[in-house]
Amino acid sequence: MKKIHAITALVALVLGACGEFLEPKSPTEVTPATVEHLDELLLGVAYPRPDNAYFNCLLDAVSDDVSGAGFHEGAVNTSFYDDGDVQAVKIAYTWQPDYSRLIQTVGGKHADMYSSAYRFLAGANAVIDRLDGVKGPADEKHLVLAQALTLRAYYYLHLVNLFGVPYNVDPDGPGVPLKVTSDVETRPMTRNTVREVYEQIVADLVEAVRLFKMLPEERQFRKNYRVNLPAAQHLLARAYLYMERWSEAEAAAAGVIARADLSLLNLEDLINAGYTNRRASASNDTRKYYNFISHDNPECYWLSGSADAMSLYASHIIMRATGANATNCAYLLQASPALLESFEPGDARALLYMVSDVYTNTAINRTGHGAFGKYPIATGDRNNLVPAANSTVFGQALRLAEPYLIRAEACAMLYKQGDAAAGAKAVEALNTLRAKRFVAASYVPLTLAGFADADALVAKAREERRKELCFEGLRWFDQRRQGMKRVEHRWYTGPGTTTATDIHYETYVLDDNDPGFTFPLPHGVLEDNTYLVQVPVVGVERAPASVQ
Amino acid sequence: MEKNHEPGTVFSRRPRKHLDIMRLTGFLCLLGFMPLSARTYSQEYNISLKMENATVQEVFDEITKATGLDFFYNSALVDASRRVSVTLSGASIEGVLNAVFKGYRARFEVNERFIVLLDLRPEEREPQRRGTLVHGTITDVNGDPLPGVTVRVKGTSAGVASEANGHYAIPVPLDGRPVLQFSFIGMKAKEVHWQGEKVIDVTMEEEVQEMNEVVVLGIANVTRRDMVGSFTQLPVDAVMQPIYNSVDQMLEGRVAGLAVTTTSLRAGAAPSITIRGRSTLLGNTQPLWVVDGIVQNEVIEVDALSGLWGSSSGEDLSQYLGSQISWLNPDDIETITVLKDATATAIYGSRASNGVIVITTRKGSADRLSVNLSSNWNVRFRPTYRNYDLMNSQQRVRFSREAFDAGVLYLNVPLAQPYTYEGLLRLFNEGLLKEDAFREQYELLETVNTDWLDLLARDAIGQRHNMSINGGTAKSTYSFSASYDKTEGIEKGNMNERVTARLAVGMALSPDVHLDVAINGGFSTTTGFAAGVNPLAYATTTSRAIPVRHPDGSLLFHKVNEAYHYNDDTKATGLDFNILHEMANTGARFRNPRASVNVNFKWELLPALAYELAAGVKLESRKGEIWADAPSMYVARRYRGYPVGTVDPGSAYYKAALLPFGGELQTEDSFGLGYELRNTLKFNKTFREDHRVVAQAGWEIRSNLRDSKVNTVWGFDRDRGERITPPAVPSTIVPVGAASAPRDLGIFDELYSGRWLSTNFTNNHASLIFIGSYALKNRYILNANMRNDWSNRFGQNINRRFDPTYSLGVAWRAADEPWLEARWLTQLSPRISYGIQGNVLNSVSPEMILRKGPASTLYNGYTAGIVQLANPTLSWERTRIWNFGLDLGLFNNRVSLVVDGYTRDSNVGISYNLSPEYGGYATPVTGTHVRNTGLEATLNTRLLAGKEWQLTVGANAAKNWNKIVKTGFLDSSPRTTANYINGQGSRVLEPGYAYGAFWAYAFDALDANGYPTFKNLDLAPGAPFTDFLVLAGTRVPLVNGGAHLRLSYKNLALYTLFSVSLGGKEFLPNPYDTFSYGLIPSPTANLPAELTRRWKKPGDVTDIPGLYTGGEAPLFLADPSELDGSSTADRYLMWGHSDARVASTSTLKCKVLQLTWSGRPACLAALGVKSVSVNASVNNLFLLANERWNGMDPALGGRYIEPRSFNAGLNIGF
Repeated sequence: MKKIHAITALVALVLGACGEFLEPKSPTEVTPATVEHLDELLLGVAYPRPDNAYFNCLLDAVSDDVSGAGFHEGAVNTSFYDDGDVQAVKIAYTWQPDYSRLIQTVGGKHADMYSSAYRFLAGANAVIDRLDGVKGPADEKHLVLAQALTLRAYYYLHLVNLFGVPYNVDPDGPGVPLKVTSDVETRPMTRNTVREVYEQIVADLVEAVRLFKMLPEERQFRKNYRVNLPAAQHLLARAYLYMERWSEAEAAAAGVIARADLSLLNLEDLINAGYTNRRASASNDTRKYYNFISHDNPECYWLSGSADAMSLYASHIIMRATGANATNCAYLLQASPALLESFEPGDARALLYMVSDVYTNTAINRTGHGAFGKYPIATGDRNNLVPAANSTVFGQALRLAEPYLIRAEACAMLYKQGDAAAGAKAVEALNTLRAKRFVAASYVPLTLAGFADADALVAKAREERRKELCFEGLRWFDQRRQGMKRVEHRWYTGPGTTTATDIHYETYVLDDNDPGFTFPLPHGVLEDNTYLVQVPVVGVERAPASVQ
Repeated sequence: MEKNHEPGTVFSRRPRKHLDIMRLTGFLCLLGFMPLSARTYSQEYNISLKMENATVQEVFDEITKATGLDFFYNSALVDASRRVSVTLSGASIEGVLNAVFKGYRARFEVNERFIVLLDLRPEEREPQRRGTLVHGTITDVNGDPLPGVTVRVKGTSAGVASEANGHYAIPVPLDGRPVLQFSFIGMKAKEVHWQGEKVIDVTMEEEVQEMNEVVVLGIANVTRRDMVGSFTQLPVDAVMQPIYNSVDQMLEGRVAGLAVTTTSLRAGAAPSITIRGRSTLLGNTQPLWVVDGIVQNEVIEVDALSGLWGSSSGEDLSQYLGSQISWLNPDDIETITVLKDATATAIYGSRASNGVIVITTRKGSADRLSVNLSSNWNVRFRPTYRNYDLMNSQQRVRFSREAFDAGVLYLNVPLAQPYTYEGLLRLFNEGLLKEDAFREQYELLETVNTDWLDLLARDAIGQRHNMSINGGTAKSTYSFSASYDKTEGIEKGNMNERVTARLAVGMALSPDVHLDVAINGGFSTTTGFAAGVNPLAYATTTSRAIPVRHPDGSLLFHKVNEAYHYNDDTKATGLDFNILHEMANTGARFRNPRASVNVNFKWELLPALAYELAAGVKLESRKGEIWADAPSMYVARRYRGYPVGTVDPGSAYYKAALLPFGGELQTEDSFGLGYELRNTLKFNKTFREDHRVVAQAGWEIRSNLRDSKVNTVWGFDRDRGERITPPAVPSTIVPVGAASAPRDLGIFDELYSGRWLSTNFTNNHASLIFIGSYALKNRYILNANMRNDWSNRFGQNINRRFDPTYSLGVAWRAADEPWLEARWLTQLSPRISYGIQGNVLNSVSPEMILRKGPASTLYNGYTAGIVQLANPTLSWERTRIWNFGLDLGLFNNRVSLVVDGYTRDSNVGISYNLSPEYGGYATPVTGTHVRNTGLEATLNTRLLAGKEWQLTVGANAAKNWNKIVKTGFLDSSPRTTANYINGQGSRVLEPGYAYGAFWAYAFDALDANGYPTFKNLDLAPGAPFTDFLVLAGTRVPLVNGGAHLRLSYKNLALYTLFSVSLGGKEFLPNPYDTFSYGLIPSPTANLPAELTRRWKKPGDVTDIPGLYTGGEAPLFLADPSELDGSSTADRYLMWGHSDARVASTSTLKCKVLQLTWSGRPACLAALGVKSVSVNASVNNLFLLANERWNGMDPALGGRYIEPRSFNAGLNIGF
């Protein structure tokens, strides 16, 4: 019997130890249990960080703010045009319907903006899903949830404007699939209507604003690169603007404008401080270039995205010769003449918002402007300026200028709809901004009387928006909602001589209301989700309208 | 020594002290000092005594000393002080007692520990009958004399034991019809009708295939009678092929339903094994390996590696990692049991859904000391160009010329160099070469014919040496073995070397307590390749027009299309490459020590109740080094842009180099520690003779810790004492060309984005096991098994998970029915089993799992990532298994047939890449039902079993039908053409079709340009895939099987094994594979000679399309699958995936042909050599396959063939 006792004791010992034995022990893997886990998750997979946010990299290559470099030196090597990266720029720039596959073929990167945006969405959804089940103080939970909701709205606003038809064209037209949980579901992921997506965006942002406001004031807005109350209000204003719900847009923008801890930057001060945006010599002096995407800029409240992504397609440099003898020649895509011409005399933005040192070869005395300039500049090895494509450099910001512009456009539209008081408000918003943008000597305030009619005021507000927000990935969306007007892009096909008559180029045209104003879904996405229906596309290839 | 003489006490017992001494003797004997060996029970003792005038007591003490057995006797019966003289040698206990008690008849019993003297009475003076003395020699089948065999005349109690030389002599009565009985433990009893012979020599056979044989289940052992499940048990001798150093490689063709696929020719690589087809589409389909009751973990895998480990070009770490049992020396194995159905595998729970292979290792036997030495040498022959359908240099150069003349475009601008036609032409066109020189060099190119296979491969020598020592006594047994083996890969530089040692000790601590301890140790080293070097692939894909050396013997470098990111010049010029140089400067080495201790403790608490404890601890580590030294192209391509030391400091190239000095070294340090502990109570009782109940309940815990770190250093210089030189400071780097300067930390960015990798986890499992079996009249057997597992995986809440695996089975031993008794029918046992089994999908969780990430210094906060999304739709992957079996044995099992039929209905899980809206995360999904139905048969016959001629022939075959029954939601989402071409391997496509089914384009004809055209592409857009594609067949062979034959005549034995695979289909390798976009691949690449038979001009009759030269006909063709016509494919790839290129993968392989001579040469007897065997074998003697495979093995993608090899071995027993 003693034997039996011994065994019983042994078995009991083994059984008793089991509770602890079966505790998960991985030092690296966890099931989300605390609000800290979700906060880490938010930063890890939901925030568009400089090292991972490539979901918007094509945007500045397709808009009418860019055009091809209008002149090529004779010395440019023909093989330059065979380069995969250059081909990739061309594919995006010429609005090729099958851009994703073509770009992949030539070795270009990050053409699938759809998948990369949904990657972030999955992270935001995961946080929102799990929040109820984790432990943590209520404030922390509100803060995390508010951020996640803001981010979700941010990505959907982005996605629906990339791949959905414009809201003001057909709110019930195809948008993007709305997925608001991270869990695996047994339903096909088909496109929701544009309206449904916008309703989700608005609901998320309204809730986020409510949650932010429940927090103590000092936690509503901190300059820690996290989304915050003004960011949520800003995005809400932008969403309403795109939906043409003017008064709500104005109201949301007012929340940001009213903040005492934000102010507009006076650009003349920058010029006076030596930010000439032009180097005195060919030396690699980048101190002349102000970094607008920074918390040193009192306008900014949320920095995000990646300068590398923003410049990937928009700031390619043409090489002269190849290899060791190569010298930079020009930016492949440049600020378009239409944009440049819209700046009035004395507008400091024409100087400060884009780099302008293109040529070192002073013999060819021409000037061009790069399609970038707000994010930091790195030293160019061949005397040219290149973006600081560093994994810690932000590429985008939410800044105070846009709420003023939203107010201006919204009020102008209300004025047009008959709200007489709104006209003055629109003009005032424009003046507040413009006063900080012009050198004082050239600044002339706008007056309502100066506008022939309401349409002229609207047009002015929109023109101001274009100039202020150039190369921030927003112009394309504005083109879509502002009537989808015809755009021409010239692609220079080879080196000419220095004479302007020997220039070869193809002209690609995006017609009025062209289906190309909506990005076709990337081919790989259609393969992976066959429930998705492609938007109408112009055949397999967009051919040049003319060749010269 | 005084005995207890008290009346009433029948037996006296010696003091305990004596027992202790005996134990000590037992240990000494383990160490090999025991002078005599012993067998259990009387006849197995071999006692030599020479005692003059000693007391009976002294004689008894002497016997005790010699045998380890204590004497019990009734002191009233024996006068212990009586003096006797005894002189005996090699006598049994009976013999000694007869000598001591001359004139008396001693009746006694001997068990494991005691000799009990039951009775002693004066010998009756039986009436002297007429008799005669018969004598002879008793030997085993090998001719070894058998001492201690009991020889009796049937019907009498009188018997004798054979002597040490096997000799016996017994008086036989002349009247009646005397029958001599020979009996010996472990041997078949034999009866001989005496017909007046004076000499009767007897050969005794070992008891094999007996009804009471034990089936090894690992955790539990049951007698074959009680076994209801489906299994195949093989002694290792039946499968041993000395050329392989791991048992998994030897199983091909030997077990019905077990398919072995060789996936790599590298030394040390493990084959892939599947039992009864795939039951899961997720991950691992390898069976569970169990060695001596301890489950073997998977090898420590290194996942998600970048850099050198993960470098492309087929460099796959798994090609160097053996399987879970690679550490096990095949010579240590005793039996291999493959468990197939639910009943057999249920006790291993869900992990066993792929089947279980149970291995037992050799134990010492209570036998004389035996020492065995064996040595095997083999050579595997490298492939030659005869094996391959590749172009020689003339064909290659002419192909280039023809293609160029036809105006075909190139993928890359050919580099200017004199070693390719295109390069030569470029030199000529650029004016760097005069026409004469061009012509001369062109002619030279046609004759270069570099033999890459000779340069990079070799006839590989393998050797294996093994020593084993076995022995023991009744109380303790021991077995020691040590082995060394070295296997060279056929690629130069690939080698696997292994040393193992093993000591197994079994001890009977008391009659009720038994302890087995086994200690294993081993060390293996594998060397291989790194940095994208793949010699065999290189040899078969590189143009033979490229010379490898200059005429002066120095290495010749040619240019390849590789570029260094920060130096655009390299894009135009390419980089220098020479494979021999690259192989000398890159490599990989893995060192893998391993040790384990297994303890098995058995305690018979009560006659019907036993307790068993099995415990094992194992320790394993792996140290891996992968390097690319400074001169390698790998380093030049990634970090430098020029050959090391060829530029001046301060030059533009130097300034662009990330790593001006040294190379790269990636290291891995893995450590694994595991333990397993199992407690089992076993109840075994027979009630009223007819009712036997066996019940076993156990509790098991297992724990596995793994800790692995992967690290990289740059600037590593092997030749300079393995020092490291720092790389260039990123801010000083000035790229040549357009590239922007390196980001952040330069080269070290890689370290912070994946090159440092730590895997660290502890997996714990606890399980409850129940095995029950009831036998009525030993004929009707009912069996029930159950097991439940708990683990510390995330999301597997212990309170919620009771999800047992269970099985039920019945069997009927019909041949034992009295009414069916027939001499020819030895066995007839139908059996049925049913079981429900979870699958390995148990390792996944429906909950969301996060992985802690590094801090983001920018955000000043920590990050976390998603490992897997929550999946509430996940149901447990379950398989319902029915098995119907029949065991048939005829003519004393000389013919045995086992037939099994099964169905397995699986709700399979697949790893599904969720649609992009899920953020690109993959998740396992379930809901797809697959039905596997199969029929297996194993036939074994002993056609000849004579003294001189013996012939056994066996064959097995397994046929499997499988079908997708229904698809789950996520899995039924629409598909692409590529899915159908690739087949249902990973995505289940069409319910109703076989699970291995795949489709092909319908080839039509070659058009006027020689371009391939296809049928059905003009169907209406949106047509179903199955309309415009044709069903090509199934990739999974329908029938797998094998046949073996063993013929022996006297000392010679011939063994041969064939394996067969029938009914599979696969696309042939596409000679246009490398022509992306119809463009000519790199001029440095070799091409299949098939292309010389291509269409060249109108009127050519050929089935190989011509080159694409543009024109009206587009290269890409649209198929009707998509309404907008956006699904297009390259017509040459379509041709490769058309029905014109589908070929049968049926093969017949002669796996081995082996000749063995074994005997006992008298001339060596003086040296103590008892037996010698010599064997010679040929492996992979031939392969019969569809001729379209050009002699290649379809199982290896039609690109390789397992090399033929010869083996010679010698085995000496002492």
